Amino acid sequence: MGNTANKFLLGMLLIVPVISFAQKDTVQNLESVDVTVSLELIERNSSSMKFMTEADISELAAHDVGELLGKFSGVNLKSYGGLGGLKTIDVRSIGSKHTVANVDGFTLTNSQSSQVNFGQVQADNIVGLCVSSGGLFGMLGSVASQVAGSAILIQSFENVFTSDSLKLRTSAKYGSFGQLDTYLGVKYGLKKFFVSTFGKFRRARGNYGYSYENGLETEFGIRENNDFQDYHYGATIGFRPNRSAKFRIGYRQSNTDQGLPGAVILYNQTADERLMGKDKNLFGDAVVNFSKTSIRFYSSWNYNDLTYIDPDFLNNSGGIDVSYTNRSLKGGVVFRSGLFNNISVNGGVEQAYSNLVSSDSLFSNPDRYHTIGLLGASYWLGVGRITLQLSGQYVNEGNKTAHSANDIFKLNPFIGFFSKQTGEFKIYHKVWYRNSFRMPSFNELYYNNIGNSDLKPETAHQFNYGVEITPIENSLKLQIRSNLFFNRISDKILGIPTKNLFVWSMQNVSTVNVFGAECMYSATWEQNKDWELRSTGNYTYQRSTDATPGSFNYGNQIAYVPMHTANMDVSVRFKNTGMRISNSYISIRYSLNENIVKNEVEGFLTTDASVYYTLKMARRNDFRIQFTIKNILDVSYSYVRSFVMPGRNYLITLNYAIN
Amino acid sequence: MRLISLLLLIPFVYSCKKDKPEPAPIEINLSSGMVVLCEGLFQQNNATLSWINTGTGDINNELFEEKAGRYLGDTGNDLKKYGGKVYIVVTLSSTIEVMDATTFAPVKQIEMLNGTVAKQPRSIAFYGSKAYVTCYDGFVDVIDTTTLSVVERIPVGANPEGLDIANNKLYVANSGGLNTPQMDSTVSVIDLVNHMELQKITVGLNPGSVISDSYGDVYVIARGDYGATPSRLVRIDSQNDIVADEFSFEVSGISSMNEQFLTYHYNYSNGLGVVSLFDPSSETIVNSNYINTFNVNTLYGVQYNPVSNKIYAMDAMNFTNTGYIHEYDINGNQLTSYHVGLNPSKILFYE
Repeated sequence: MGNTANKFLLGMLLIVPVISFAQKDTVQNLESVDVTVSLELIERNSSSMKFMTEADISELAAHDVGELLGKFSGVNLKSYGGLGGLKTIDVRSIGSKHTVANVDGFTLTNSQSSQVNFGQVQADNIVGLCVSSGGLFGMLGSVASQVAGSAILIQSFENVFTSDSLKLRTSAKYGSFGQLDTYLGVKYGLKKFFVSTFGKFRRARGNYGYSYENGLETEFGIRENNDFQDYHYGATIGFRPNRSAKFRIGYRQSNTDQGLPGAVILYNQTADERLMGKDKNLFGDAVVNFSKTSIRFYSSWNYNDLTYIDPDFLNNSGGIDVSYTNRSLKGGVVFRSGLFNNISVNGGVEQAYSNLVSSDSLFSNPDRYHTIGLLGASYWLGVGRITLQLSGQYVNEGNKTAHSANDIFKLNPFIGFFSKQTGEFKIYHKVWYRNSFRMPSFNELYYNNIGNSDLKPETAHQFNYGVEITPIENSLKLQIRSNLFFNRISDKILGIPTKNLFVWSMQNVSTVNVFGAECMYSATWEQNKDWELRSTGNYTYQRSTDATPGSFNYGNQIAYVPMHTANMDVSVRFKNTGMRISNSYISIRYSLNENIVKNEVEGFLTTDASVYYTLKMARRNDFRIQFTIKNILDVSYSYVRSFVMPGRNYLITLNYAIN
Repeated sequence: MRLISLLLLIPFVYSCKKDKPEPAPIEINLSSGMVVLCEGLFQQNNATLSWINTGTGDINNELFEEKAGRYLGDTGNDLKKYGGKVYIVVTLSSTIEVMDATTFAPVKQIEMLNGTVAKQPRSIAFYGSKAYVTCYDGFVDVIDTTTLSVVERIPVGANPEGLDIANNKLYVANSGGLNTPQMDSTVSVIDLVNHMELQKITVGLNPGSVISDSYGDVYVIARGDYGATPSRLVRIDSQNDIVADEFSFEVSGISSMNEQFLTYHYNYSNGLGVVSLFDPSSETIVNSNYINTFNVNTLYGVQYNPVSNKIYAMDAMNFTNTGYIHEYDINGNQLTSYHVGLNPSKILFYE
């Protein structure tokens, strides 16, 4: 830390005098209106966003947010095995590290790996989930999430203001492979205050059976060393003195302990590695609304501690036991203002500091100051809105034990046109271009021999044209949305051998072109109060190719990007009983960039089904029981080569809620 | 409903299935060709063997699957023939696959596990009725070539790599590679009668390949740290078990060519590969640029076929693309190339 850090802290205190107070959510408007309604507001304000409601989330009985994100169009989920395993997502194949995740308006940070493990983000307390590709214009989310290539917005039950006296969510899940999952969230609101707290415990043995094709033979095995145990807890206080000001402050912590089963290695099922994590997060914000202007101040502190143990590593000290501590402190201010009738401006600044300390003597001791400034304007014409935005970012890298990376300054524009809804079918067009970049992670810059402090940031250009229509709107409501997109990622960071086969190093070596199309529909049929039928579906085509001049794989589909993904869900409700069938399809992928049969990872279609019954009890009390069968057809599949997923499995969920 | 949704998705599933190309047929008895071990990549279970019929030029990259009906496993590291059998050392799968040398029918899979810990076998050498296998857990396993089971474990240094036999003794390179940056620098000398370690000879940082010549000398490559300490070839006098010479040229690998050695070096910084001819009788490089490696992207090995009198250079491309075997005549002129599997590193020649 030292002197510069002190200066930083001082600066933060001066810039943001009320840093530790809080209000507002990721997305403005969200808490004042019912979530399902306000999600449409988000859609108006964003360039290309998809969302999921609380009802969807409970029907899907997802293990974590990663599983939910796999249901979105344009999202490519990579799951390194079932239950506690690592899950990352890549939106429109620009790369998983281009995605910023926001929980309640605060960015989830990990500057060591630059990506979020969505397998560790809880799903029980989520009341709204969105994936945005083109940015979040005019909203009061963190500046980092507004300038990223894509953003995931998560809104939790605990951090939304309430004026009701008591709200409660509780659930218990019991399922195959020793799954036990309990959650309790309580929120108590008075006229000006609310307090909330939650706790969650999750564990599983994770010992699922699998089959694995081995030439003409099929190997059967049980996943070993796949157990995990997590605790998550936190509390938030909110204060709303009047209609124009809101403050929140909260704390969240999670402790995780999991076995790492690794890849299925043929003939060798030994695995003893473990990963222990501790994540602490203190956050606060303040929102002040003037007649035409809203301002949000926010700040968060994040502490992430990871310990990795491999007792069977064949070195002289009898194994590996190494820990990494990644800390970050950030603060910022965002605003939006309706200057004139047809012009609005928005913008913000954010300052973040992060560092990494490791017990591994070969790892450097890096730190980073990252400053982001953003300014945008929208102009309303008769036919729609034009939005321009420019962000500037300055990154200052330090390293106490070795050469540090160069400082970086970058300007990134955004330009978009969003039409008004016209005609009887409410046709709505949008065209936008976004330029963004991602910083190399601390691992990529400094990790032992692999890191390369000369790395440049990876740049993404995204072009999108989308149209939305509502062809039917009566007791049956049908909405269809389509997007065509072209993305180009340059200076893509890849590991390649530079000293010998065992010493790989990160290099800016490739260029990727992505031609994509996606189509989504949402249909709701409500005959009367008793009957409701809903269906959603999406299909995404992505031709994501190596466009590096002189590459051995020029024109080949990039590893692990499926050309076709599709989802289709149908749910039926009669009175208090309902069911949902959920299908996901992913076409073949290649495990390496060379598109040969040997590298193919088979495509798969999985089907899950849930049946539930809700018992409406006195006043606002609901009790619900749900039975879910996942992978009903017992398909043997994997997202990542050699990381097998579970076959058919079962889950019982009990919920009790005071709404 | 489920049926409808399934029906909607079925066209996608089938539109994406590709017809797999038929590999060239493999004769029942292998002859006039070569078996190539392609290491594959870590955690991909894609180590393979290729069969190249040098008469017809036919290539089959699924030799092991076709003969055994299953995959070879993860990270193949050594391939040798002894007493009518072929031994394939597969490091991460921790197995040794034993095949009939003529028909390539599977004979036995030897599991190299120590309780629940994988021994990670690396290289194999033979003497009398025994096979000696370096294991990354710090032992040389002794395998009876009749029963094909491990009969003894000889403790050596950390993470042993290459090994060879000279003067009734076994020389084992202790790399210590998993203790980076504190790597090992020694060669263990093992008495082949009583299987006891006689001594450790310090040869230089990170010893890897070991090969003996017909003069009773053992050559070891000390691979250095890929940074400030360069790789070196070291000669051990097996009469006195002392380091007799250290040659001041960089070297990545070594193999025999009649009474001489082919050495190669691949420079990862500039992408240049050089093959040299080393004469152990004069202990000098007699030709420092023996074959034209212009067409080789990443030189990953070189071997000489005494029957056909041809030289083969292995090309690992970028390590994630399937590689090539380039064929040269004895004067170093390229004749042809064969497209094989991922990271080809060892060749076994068939008359």
